[in-house]
Amino acid sequence: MEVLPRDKGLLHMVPMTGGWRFVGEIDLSNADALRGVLATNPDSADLHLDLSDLTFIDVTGTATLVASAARLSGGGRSLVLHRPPNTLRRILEVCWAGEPCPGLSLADS
Amino acid sequence: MDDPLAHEALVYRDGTGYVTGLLPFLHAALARDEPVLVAVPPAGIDLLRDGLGGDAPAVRFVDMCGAGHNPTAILPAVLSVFADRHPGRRVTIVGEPIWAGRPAAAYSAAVQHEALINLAFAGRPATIVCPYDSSRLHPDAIADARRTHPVVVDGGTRRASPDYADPAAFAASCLHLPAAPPTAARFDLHGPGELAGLRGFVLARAIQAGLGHAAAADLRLAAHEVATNALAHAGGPVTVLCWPTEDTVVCEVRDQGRAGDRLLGRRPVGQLGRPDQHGRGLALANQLCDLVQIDVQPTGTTIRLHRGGTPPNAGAGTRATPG
Repeated sequence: MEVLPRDKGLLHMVPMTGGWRFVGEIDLSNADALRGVLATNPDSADLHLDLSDLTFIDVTGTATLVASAARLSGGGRSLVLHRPPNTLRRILEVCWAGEPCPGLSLADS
Repeated sequence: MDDPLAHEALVYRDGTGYVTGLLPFLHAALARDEPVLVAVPPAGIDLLRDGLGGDAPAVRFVDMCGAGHNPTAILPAVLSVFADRHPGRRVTIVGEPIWAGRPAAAYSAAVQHEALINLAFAGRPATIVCPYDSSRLHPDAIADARRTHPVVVDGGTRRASPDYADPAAFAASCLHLPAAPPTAARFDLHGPGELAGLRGFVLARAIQAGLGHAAAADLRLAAHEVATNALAHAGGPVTVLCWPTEDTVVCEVRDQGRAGDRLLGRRPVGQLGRPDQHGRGLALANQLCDLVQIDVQPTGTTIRLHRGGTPPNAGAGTRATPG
């Protein structure tokens, strides 16, 4: 089944092998829609997100990714974030300080 | 039953008074094998480290001028997070949030922090001693310490403070928030779809006022997070004002809710429920800004974010425009 690009307001989601490339911004206006898209991924492997063209993410968006990763980890899968913006790392460091984020994996490439 | 919390001000006049006032207290806590945190300016750390000698490694030292630069961050990021690391145990803390030379804009937020310690630690087994340098601080600062501490130690005498004020009422009235200038730029926020516009508004105003791009982006993210919380938790219209001061840019987010939450922005992220992003956004704002002022009133909540032009550890000169 072909997966088509989707637009969720500020965020353009382009399908790629094993997941999505995100272009644009994630905030309260599209976090719910993002959650829905991540929940319906039918694959049984790890889910990959290329975030190199994500120009803004906030605490709400990060929480959505953390929650999606936790749900995937329940099925033995991971959410792999490729080239996340520095803001995302900083938000995880400050706002999830010391808390485990099961299923979440950050990759520099 | 006695309250397990002891929150005391120690009035000292010089280095000798500092050391003789605090060392016996620290030695006794260490002898009881209690976790001990000393969060004071660097000069105090040096004095106490020397005085403790071989016991110093058992104490956790934090530079209050750095970690407590923004007074609103002290409870969530320094004091409560330390206590939470030792559940079920009495902790001993020396915290000096008010020192001579503290910028005036931060002073009243530091007084509010002192008042809120009484609420944040109520019922918890903790001994918190806050030194006040009476030879260098304005007498008003000592008077405020007597309002925010149930017990004051002065000249070797420990006594209940007759001036101690109800902490919730005092925290709601002690913040000094001069009126926004009439020239402040205004953005009215009605829903999540306008958050991107708000981010552009704050970034443009901050850069226009002379902030470097990194500092302006920090203020943008902080304002966005506080406004997001206001939309999600307060309901109703959210008003954002932005204006430059001599050396900072101020962004004010005003809503009409959250009146009951006295410890808004003061809880460490570890105390927040999983789905609760409310406190997380404020935790981020606390780290992104030089000063966060949180004024919770029955009619609504006002949060002011202050960001200076130069990051604390940046050596570069001022950059008027990006790139």
